[in-house]
Parts: sequence; C-alpha cells; structure tokens
Amino acid sequence: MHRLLGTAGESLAIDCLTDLLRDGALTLALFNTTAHELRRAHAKRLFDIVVRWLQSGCFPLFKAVNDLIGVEKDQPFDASIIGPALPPPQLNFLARKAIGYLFLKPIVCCSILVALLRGGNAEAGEEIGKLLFDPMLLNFGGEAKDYLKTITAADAAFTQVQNALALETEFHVGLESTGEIRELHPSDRQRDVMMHRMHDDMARTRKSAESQSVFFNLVHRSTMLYGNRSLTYVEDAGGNQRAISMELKSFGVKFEMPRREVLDPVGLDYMLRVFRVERMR
Amino acid sequence: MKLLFRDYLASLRERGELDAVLPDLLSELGYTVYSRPQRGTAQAGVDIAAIGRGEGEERKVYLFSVKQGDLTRQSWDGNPQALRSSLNEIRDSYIPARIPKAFEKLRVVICLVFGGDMQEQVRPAVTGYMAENTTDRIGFEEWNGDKLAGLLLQGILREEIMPKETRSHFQKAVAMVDEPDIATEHFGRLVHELTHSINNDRTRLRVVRQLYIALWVLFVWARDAKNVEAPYRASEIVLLNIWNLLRPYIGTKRNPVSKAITEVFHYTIQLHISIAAELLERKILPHAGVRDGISLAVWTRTHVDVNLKLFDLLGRIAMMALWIHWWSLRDTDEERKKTVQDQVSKWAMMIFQLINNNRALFLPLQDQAAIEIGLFLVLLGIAVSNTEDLRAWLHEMTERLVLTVQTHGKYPCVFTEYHQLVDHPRERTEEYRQEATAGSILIPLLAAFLSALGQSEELESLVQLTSNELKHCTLQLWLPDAATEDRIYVGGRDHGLELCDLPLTSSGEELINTIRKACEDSSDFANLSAIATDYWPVLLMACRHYRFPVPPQFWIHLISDPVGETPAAA
Repeated sequence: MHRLLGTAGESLAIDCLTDLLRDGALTLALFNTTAHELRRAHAKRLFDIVVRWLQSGCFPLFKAVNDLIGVEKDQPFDASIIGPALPPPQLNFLARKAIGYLFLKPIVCCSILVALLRGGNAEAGEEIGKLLFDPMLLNFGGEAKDYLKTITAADAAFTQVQNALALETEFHVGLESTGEIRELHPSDRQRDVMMHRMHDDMARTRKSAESQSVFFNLVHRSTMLYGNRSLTYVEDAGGNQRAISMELKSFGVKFEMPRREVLDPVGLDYMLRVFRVERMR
Repeated sequence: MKLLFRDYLASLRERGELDAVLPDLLSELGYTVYSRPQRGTAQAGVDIAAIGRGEGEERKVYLFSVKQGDLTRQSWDGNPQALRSSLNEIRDSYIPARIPKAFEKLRVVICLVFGGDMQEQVRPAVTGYMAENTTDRIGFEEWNGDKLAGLLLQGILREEIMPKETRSHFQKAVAMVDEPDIATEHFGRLVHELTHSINNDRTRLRVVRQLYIALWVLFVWARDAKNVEAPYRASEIVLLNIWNLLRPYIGTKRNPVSKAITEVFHYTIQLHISIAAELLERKILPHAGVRDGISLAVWTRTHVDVNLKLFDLLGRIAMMALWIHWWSLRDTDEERKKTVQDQVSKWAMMIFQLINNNRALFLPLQDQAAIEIGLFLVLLGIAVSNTEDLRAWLHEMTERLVLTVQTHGKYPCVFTEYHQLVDHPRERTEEYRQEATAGSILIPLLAAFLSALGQSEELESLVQLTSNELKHCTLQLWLPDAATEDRIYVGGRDHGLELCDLPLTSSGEELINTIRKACEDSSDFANLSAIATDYWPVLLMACRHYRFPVPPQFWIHLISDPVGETPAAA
C-alpha cells in the first residue's frame, strides 16, 4: 500500500487503509510501513487524514489517529480548515476529538485547533479559543505555549490565540499571589517514597523496552559503570592488539506531562473520556 | 536551652502572647495570681497582679506591666501605650484604689516585663524613673527576656520536673520544626512522658501548664520558620490530652485545681485557634478563589499529595470554623456573636470556592477522607450556606466515584499507608479492587445526604454501584461505645461500634432509618464527657486527629429531621 503513496493511486490507498481500519479488527500497527511513510512526508496529506478520521465518528479511526501521529512526532501542522465548509458544531466536535485523542501531543493538538480557528468562523472560534486555554494551556505551559506564541498578527487565528495566552498569563498571576505555603509540602519521607517509585517505574519501563527491541538480541551488550568513553582492545587479522575507542552520546525523548495529571487526574480522565466518546449533536 | 526560651520570649509578637504565658509561669513559681490579663478591660496599667515572695521571704504584691519585644525609646515613652504611661497609671490609680483589701498592707513591686532586652539608649531614663519613684512601699524590678527565660527554666521547666530526656524531645521538636512529621513525633513523646509522670493533683496542673507553654514555644518558633504545621498537629495533641486530664474532675465538686486546669484548657483552645488561623486564615483562605492556587502550592509531582493535603485542609477549615462557632455560643454579647456567626458562614462559602478551584476536592483518594467531608457537612448544618453548592459537590463526587470504580481508576480506597496510596490502583483487576474497597464509610455518608437532598439520580447510581462493582464492600458507620470515653482523647484504637452492612436502596429511607435507630439505641455518645459537658468540638477534633469517622449523632438530624438539633447546632 505504501508504494501507492505519492502516486496517482494515493487517494485509493488512503481510502483502502481507512476502510480496513474502520471496523477495528485491524490496527495501524499492521501497516507500519505505510504509517511511517504517511508520517515522514507531506504534512498536508497527514493533516487531511487526521481530520478525516477525527470527523469519521468511528472509534477505531479515532484511535488510529494517535497511532498515525506516532510517539515521536510533536511538530505543529501548518494548515487551515476553511470555515464555511464545516458548520460550527462540527468544528467544535473536531476540536474536542483532537483533544480527546491527541492530548499528549500538545503541539500537534494546538496546531489542529489553530487550523480550525483559521477557518474564521466566529461562533466556533470562541469555543475553540476557550479550549486552547482550558485544557491545553492550563495543562501544557512549555512547547505548546511557545508554538502558540509564534502565531503572528497576520494569522486568522491570532485574536483567539492571544485571548487564550492572556488567560494563561492571568492564571499564572493568580498562582504567584499564592506564594510558598510550606505547611503543604510533602514530607521528606513522602518524597523518598515517590522517588523510589519513579525509579522502579523507570527500571521496569526500560526492561520492557529492551525486551521488545530487535537489536538487543542481535548485538553484544556491554554495561559501562563509569565514564563517557569506552576503550576495547581487539585482535586484528595480523594478531596485533588494536584499540577501539568509542565516545558515547546521550539520547532521550521528552514529553510534557499534563499539569492536571497531578492536580486533578480524575477530572482530566473524565474530560478526555467525554471528548472521546461524545457524538455529534 | 535558655537561649531557646530567650528567642521565644523575644519573638512573642502580638498583644496577649506574653501576658498569656506569664500567669502560668508565676503560678508555677509559687506566686498567687489574682488578676489575669483581660482584653478591653481598663486595668490601670496592670496586666497581671500576683502575690508572692520573689527571691526574699516577705510577701509582696507584684504588679506586672507587659510589653512585647525589646524596650525601645518608643515603647518606653512618648505615647499612651508606652510603658512609662502604664507605670504612672499604676502609681496614680491602681495602687491607691485597686489593690484588694486583704493585700493593702503589703509592699508593692512594679515589674517592667518585656520579652527582649532594654536598649542601651533608654536605660538611663528607665533607671532614673525607677530611682525617682522608689519609696518605702513601692519598688521596681526589671523582668527582661533573659530573666523570664531563667524563670521558665527554674520554674515550670526545671530539670526535676522535666527530666533531661523529656527536655531533649522538646528541643528536638523545636529544632525540627520545619520537618513536621519528626517535630510532631518528638512533641508527642514529650506529651506522653509528661502525662505519664502525673501522680497527684499538683503534678496534673503542672503538666497541663508545661504542655501549654511547650506548645507556645513550638508555635512561636514555627511561626518564625514560616511553617506552623508541627504546632498545628501538636496543638491538637495538647488540647486532647489536657481534656483527658480534665475529665476526672467532671461532675465532682469544683476545686482550685480543676478550675485552674479548665482555665488553661480554655487558653489552649484559643491558642489552637490562633495556630489554625495562622495557617488557614492567613495562608489558605485568601487564595481559595485562585484557580489551582492551593493545589499547586503543594509542590509535588504526584496527585496523591495534592489529594491528601486538600482533604486535610477541608477538615481543618471546618474544624476551625466549628471551634469558633462553639466559642461564640458562650459569648454573651449578641452583636459579637452575630459577627462571628457571619464569619463562620463566610468560611463555609469559601470552602466551596476552594473546592471549585481545586478540583481534586471532588473525590478523595482515601475512603477515610469521609471524616473531613463529615466535618464539613456538620459545619454546613450550622452555617448559612447555599444548598445548591452542596448538591453540585455531591453530584460531582458521585459521578467521579462511579466512573473511577468502573474504570479501575483512582477511586477512594481503604489504604492508609502512603506507599500504598502512591501505588493505587496497583492493579486494574477485580481482585485488587475488592481489596482496595473492602469497606466504606464514605458511601453511606454520601448516600445519606444524597437521599436527604432528594438527589435520587445520584443515589440510584450509588445503589447500582454497590449492587454490582462494589457488592463486596461493607458499608459502615462508626459509633462511640462505652470504651470510647477512656480511649479516644489519647489515641486509643480499640473502641467504638461499627454499624455494618447498611442497606442502600433507591429511596435511601432504609439507610437513614437504620442509622437513626442505631443512634437512638445508643446512649454512649451522650455519655461521652465532651458531649455531656457541651464541649462537643473536642470529640470532633479527636475524630479528626486520631482518624475516627464523625459519629452520625452529629449529622443524623440534619438529614432525617431538618428542624432537630445536632450537638453542633444546639
């Protein structure tokens, strides 16, 4: 199927993929190469598929949106949805579905909301602008906020984005007025328990990731306890000892935890569930 | 140790703080205090008056004029509140006219009391004044922070009555005031050792005074460290222990010891309210309207801390409001009583504001947070508040409870250990859920109020939940029994009666009838000293501190007979 992408048969391939995923019997994991290709190139094409699946009213496709965006991608779409084509309820529906399914990819999510705002529909715009503040900016004060700050005055979404940013500033002013209340801080013992738990969770996750890795079973594995360079002596064809030095680089993936996961996880879970399951009225 | 007290005395900052401690100190040193400080009463410059021998043999009248902190030029002279004006008043008005007849012939010592030091530039003026006004009958003494600290150590806290080991707990509690768990533990041991050293009426009174002063010292240090958590917890321990020491005198003929203990007990209530207000009125309630303000101030990476702290605060605010309400009932000034009652209602409204802005308060992580919810509901029974807010809160709580239980989410669990709460839900299995929800005091409380408020849809959700996912859960309430009186004020665990397997139906009537019947059948609640003497907040505080559910006798009338009176509403 991935070979059809970028050819005249592209739309046929996408239709076919959509149909195959629709009843939930198959998942996107079975179409890894196609998904990778969709993710890799043509952001506009990817955006169109995301919007199409989010509008579908079909749960397996909603779920597939998250898989399609992938773990590593949190880059904004630079797209717009022209308003008159979609009535306000449908724009709101799309916005809430995007939040419901792409909440943990806040930049992608905000960029979809911005795309909806660019349609210039005033009625829907106000609602979507509110969603930009709550839950998006209330939960993510990092890169999502940085992304929204890049929306220029020439952009049709500018006013609503600025309103959301102003609300977020107001929110922070309120928080600063609270100041430090030492009586509320967890005790050292509680912090220790939490640290241990996080450490155990990380170790468990790493082990699970290693067990799923194809490479770990194919290569020799060394564990370095100190330093950031390794030196190994190997014997070459002439029987001489040759030093092989390797410098190590750190790598990592970061993602921002939504603030409400700490402040009100039940409320957050409840809201996301509602956004995911609600239907077009 | 002396330094510890010097710093404490110097930092007593508000009017009423130093002169609240001094009378007890004097009593312990052998003085007979015949006049204690009273707010708003003209005393002609005298804050405390006592009869004693001082360091000599002769009995004298000691008149104390108290100023906070260092004695400066300004606090010495230049305004009507200055010490010099008070001393003039004592000489001109108190000594000629107010000394009781029985002591008229005794010589008089006017004591200049201040918690800190006398500043050097003011010393010549003070010494000059004292020399000029010293007569055969009237003399002067300077009682500065250093002398007071020395008196504390040779008086109420001297080694024979507060052994080294006990002192060490006290010192550790003060030193670790910024680590409330550790400070409270040491303070608890101090209380335990002191209360177990009692062998007669005299030592009983002395221990009560020691506890009161030790609490004051802890509070002042904690206030300077901007963390009054340890004294808050310690004040509950002290208050409950003093009540326990006062109990044996209830129903007996009033004697000087019981009178003195009652007096210290009342001071301790005021001190507890001051400590609570320092935290709640100054730091928490002003930010109740800030969205997520208090939740974020918990400063944590886990929702568990936020949930635990918020519900703890809910209980504390309710408890403070209940104490103030109770105190106001004893006030004879109707206008002042009305002002306080309005304030209590305002706090109830502010709690709703706190809930709406800190939404973790819509569902506790621990089932035992029903204690805090119970306290708040008792408060709502006496405050003028909007039922709609209560309905909305209970509605959301029910929705969240049902959702979290059905989805194996963060539903209220029976665990009390922090590590278990951090892991909750450890597994999303039926077996784990059964273990985590083995019993509940939250659901019957919630159901009873839903029924009373006519929230039938929400009640039906609970009925469904308890017939399906939670059919294993023992719905229960706790009532005091005959053993409770001797144990609850000092943290004993084995007492009380568990009203189990409460029926839950769509109308809620069976539930309410069962609870009412159980309350009617038991006389143990009414026999508790705190209830019999109308000191009911003591029992609520014991429930909060030692983690016992609020007995339904406190709220049953609110739901089954709105015109009836609960102990709190009486």
